[in-house]
Amino acid sequence: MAIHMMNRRQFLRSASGYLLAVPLLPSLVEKAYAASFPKRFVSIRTVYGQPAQFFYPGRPRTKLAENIYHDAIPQGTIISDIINTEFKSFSHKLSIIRGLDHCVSDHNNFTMLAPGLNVSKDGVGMTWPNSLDEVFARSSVIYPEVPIERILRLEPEYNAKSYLDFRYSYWQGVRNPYDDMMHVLFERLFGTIGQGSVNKPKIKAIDLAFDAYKKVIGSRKISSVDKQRLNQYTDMLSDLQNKITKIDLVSCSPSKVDPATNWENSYDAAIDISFLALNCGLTNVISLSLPYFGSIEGEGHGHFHGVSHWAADGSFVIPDFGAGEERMITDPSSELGLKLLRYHAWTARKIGRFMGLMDSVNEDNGNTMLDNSLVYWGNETAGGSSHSPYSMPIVIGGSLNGKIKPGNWDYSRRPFDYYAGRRDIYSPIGTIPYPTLLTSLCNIYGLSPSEYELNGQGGFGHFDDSTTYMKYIKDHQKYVGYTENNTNKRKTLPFWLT
Amino acid sequence: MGKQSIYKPILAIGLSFCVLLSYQNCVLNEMFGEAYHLELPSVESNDLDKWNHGFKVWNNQCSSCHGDISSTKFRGVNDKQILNAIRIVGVMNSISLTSEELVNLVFALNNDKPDTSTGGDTRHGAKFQCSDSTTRGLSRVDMLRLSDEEIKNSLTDLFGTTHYKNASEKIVLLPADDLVNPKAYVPTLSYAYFDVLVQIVEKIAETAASDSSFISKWSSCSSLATESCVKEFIENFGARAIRKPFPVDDKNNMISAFNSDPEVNGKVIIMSIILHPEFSLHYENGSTSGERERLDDYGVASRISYRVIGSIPDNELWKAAKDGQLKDLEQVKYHVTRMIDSSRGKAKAVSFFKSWMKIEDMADLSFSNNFRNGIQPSNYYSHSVTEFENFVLQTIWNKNGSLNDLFLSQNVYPVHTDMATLFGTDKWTGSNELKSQSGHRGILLRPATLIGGTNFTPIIRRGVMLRTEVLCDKLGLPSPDVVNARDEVATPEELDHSFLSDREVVANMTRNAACMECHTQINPLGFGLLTFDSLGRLQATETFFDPSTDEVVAQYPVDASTDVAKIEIGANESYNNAFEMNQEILKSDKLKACFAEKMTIFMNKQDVTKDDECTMADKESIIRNPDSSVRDILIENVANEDIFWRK
Repeated sequence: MAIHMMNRRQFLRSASGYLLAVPLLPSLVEKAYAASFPKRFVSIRTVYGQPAQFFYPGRPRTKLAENIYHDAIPQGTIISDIINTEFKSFSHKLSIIRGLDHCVSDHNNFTMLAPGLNVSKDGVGMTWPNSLDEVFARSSVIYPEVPIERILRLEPEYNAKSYLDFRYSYWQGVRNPYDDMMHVLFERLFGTIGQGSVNKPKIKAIDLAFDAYKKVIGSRKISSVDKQRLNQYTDMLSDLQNKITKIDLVSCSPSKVDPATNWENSYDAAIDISFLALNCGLTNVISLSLPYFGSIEGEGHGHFHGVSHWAADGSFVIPDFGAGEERMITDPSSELGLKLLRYHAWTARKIGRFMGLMDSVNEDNGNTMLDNSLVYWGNETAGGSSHSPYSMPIVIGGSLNGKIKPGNWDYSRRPFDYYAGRRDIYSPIGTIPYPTLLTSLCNIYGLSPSEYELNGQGGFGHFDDSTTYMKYIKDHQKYVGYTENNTNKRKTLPFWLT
Repeated sequence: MGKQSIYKPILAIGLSFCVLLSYQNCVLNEMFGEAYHLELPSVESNDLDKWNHGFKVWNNQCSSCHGDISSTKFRGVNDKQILNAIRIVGVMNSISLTSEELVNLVFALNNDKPDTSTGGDTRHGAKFQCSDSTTRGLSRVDMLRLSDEEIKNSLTDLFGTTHYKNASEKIVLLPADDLVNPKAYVPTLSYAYFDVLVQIVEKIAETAASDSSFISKWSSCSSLATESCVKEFIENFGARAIRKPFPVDDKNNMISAFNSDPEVNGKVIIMSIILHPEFSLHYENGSTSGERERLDDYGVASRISYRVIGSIPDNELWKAAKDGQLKDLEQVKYHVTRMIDSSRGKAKAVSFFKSWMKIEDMADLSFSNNFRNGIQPSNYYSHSVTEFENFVLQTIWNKNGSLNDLFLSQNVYPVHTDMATLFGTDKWTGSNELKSQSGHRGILLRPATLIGGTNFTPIIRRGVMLRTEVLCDKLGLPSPDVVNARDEVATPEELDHSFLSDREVVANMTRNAACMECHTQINPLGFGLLTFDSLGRLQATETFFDPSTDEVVAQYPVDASTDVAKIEIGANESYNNAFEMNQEILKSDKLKACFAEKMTIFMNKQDVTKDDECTMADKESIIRNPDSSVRDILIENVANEDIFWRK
């Protein structure tokens, strides 16, 4: 897909050029300039583990504080086997964090942005029912004005087949829908767009329909459930009209997206659309689920799942786990080792390309779009083979205009079980409950606690040690009372924030 | 003692009855705490009614994991034990019993079925009873939206195919509904829906507004240039679009906009009619009668039409609504009978049977070359679905077949070579009568129903499908703990197809006691279908191919027999193959009740509730009548007293 790119300045210039003829021009332009850069949040979830050996160059040597180590990432660095050439030009804008312990009740769950326990992907039994992306999508901090699209949720597929889904956006315990056919999403996002008077029939027709909806809502025969829904529908119509009106002004002119024929172009289309939606001002929040791997003929999702479990002899770091002897790939140059790398590298390249696109756009404050945003890449399983939720590698691109200090990796703490090199496939126990990271994000975006805290619990997210996977943490009395202690829950990540 | 209120708070704590049994020995006997022992009300009813009621509760809540009430190891338990077990044990949060249900469940667990002296049949009989007809129509508590299929049909019927096709590029963008899983239907509209609907209707209105023949079809004018033409158009076209007289306020609002705003032209009027909420929502008017509303004739017409053909009422039905000719079931039945024979009516019926048999698009078929043995993988699945559709259509409409025919007919309708080869017949030309030479019969024993995705016979998937979809028994999802328990039991050698048949592997995989709480219900049915392999071919021998070389590694004689079928009380516990199992399922009461339940779910696009009892009793009754044709049953599904009522 060819992308018509423009920076924020170009965007505003083109908008104002059109707006000269429109009475509401001054107010819109003023608002647009006032928000010199939108507070964007992009989350990306991959699956089957974040094998540490692919994320870090080795063992950090620089002592930051007692028992805390890290190392810097200079600009132009190839960091690791998968944080590779695609990331090189903006390597200093990455944070590669480790040492965060997730609390899960099973592997392959969907709580990356809604940390806590779950029972099923449909949200049954969730202990934290709102995911961070959905909280951001509803925040007046992220959207001082009514947005065109509050959030885009994408899980690219192709060929209209029913694949497994790994969608991770929840609001009030209900999992929200994702777009999977990228050419369809493209049409939905941009198909309504026309120029000038072309849009007027749509706006007028929606006006009339809007009145009819209000009348039905006023009917005494409508149940309260239906009234609530009809009110939501009028909001949707209003948002749609807002989009038609605003997009017309933006002069955003993307070319067409064709139906995908393989994972490669399906994922590329998802990334192009996501970038375009950010660049055109359609949305500030993107949730991108990338559960499939494989650009190689004959290799796909099923193969990857198998590879993520493939192993040779070794030992598991958590005693008494009950899973018996775990195994791992001890020879990185073996066929299995290379295959595992190939899969992770394929996805990483896509993510690197996305961040690279964001880093290519200059915005009004002199930063790139990536500088002004945060791109969050993670999941809930650190070790694919061990299903370990401990010491999660998380990659974050950008700094939200300097709110964090990027360009560092690890921050791991010793002397906890730390295995360098290839043995990192079995992640050691970390030192910080994972929700701390998301609480930190809420803080740096400037959300008030009332926007993200729930039921009197401080901070964002839930953590307890009641599950099988938490046995080690429970046995060693780590994080005791964490969930009950609001002061602890409201703490933010040390060393990383400015 | 209030009916619901006493036990809800207690029972809501509980988990699944399944686990009650697996932990019985170690937990239940230690947990007779008095705190949860309540005085039960006396229930005035005869013993047979009490037993039947308790039996029904058992079947709905317990039997899927614990088997028949007559042979369960929990015979003799008391109310206290049940309540405590629910409170303590794992997976029971879905269970909620009224006091009467608890009393009668205990009664049934402590007594044999009272002798009714009718002789012979020891089966339970009909499942559903209409005890309170004033609950008819109360089950749906919110408005449904039109499905994507209904939107497409309605737009086609309103605008004609030419204008409709002008928007074909946009129509494919409509969010698709999954009607194979009607319980999962989300009754709300979405932002994406509005976004696409605006694009669709803009495309259609572009040409329709300037088409004099289209305008003159709905008014006495050839264009929408004057107020009187717009008014007449709204009254006719608008009314048909929303299936009722167009609201006067909305009409006046549109006319006012047309008169005052030059940009509100014919195209905008057409667009605004389709964007009207009552186009997208099933919203029928009625008059209050107690807790319910009795629908007016327009509402009844709309229900008939969408339930039978999935579109707006046709001219004859619309006229009946205008003339007030839809007041009783005979009048309704006339139109249902007439419309169910249309192509759309038949297609809708086929959709139901595909949904019932869980026939949906299969993402990946990964059969190895040697396993396929000449069958080409491309389009194999869609060919099997086409044959399934032909079977349903021919059995119901050409043969006027009964339920027996639907399950036992050996007629096959292969229009593709691969299917004909599979059946050992010629291709179906539309007029020749063909019978399978390979044992296939009925909707259960057909390739489309039997197919799996790999060389391995999908024993568990088939067993779950029969248990939950065909017999409507409830099975919980296995908890991670249970899955882990399975992993602990089965060693790689015990799951190795090089030495073990599919049946033996599944038996090993599920032999842990925790697994067997539910797999005692699943495996025997899955084993029965081993008569057919994963492609739906008759098999006497199962062949295992090396995953790398595709060479034959081992062969095993197929064993599709069981002596613990657990279909229902009174049914044979033993069968030797899929054909005998198919017969037992057909004879079962559960099948008939399940058929009624599945039709209701498909029509209402939600799970059944207690307020569906009457309509399901009506349907079950006609299903149980051996003289009924399947077409009769489908007509009853819609032409039913419930059609007149809403909450």
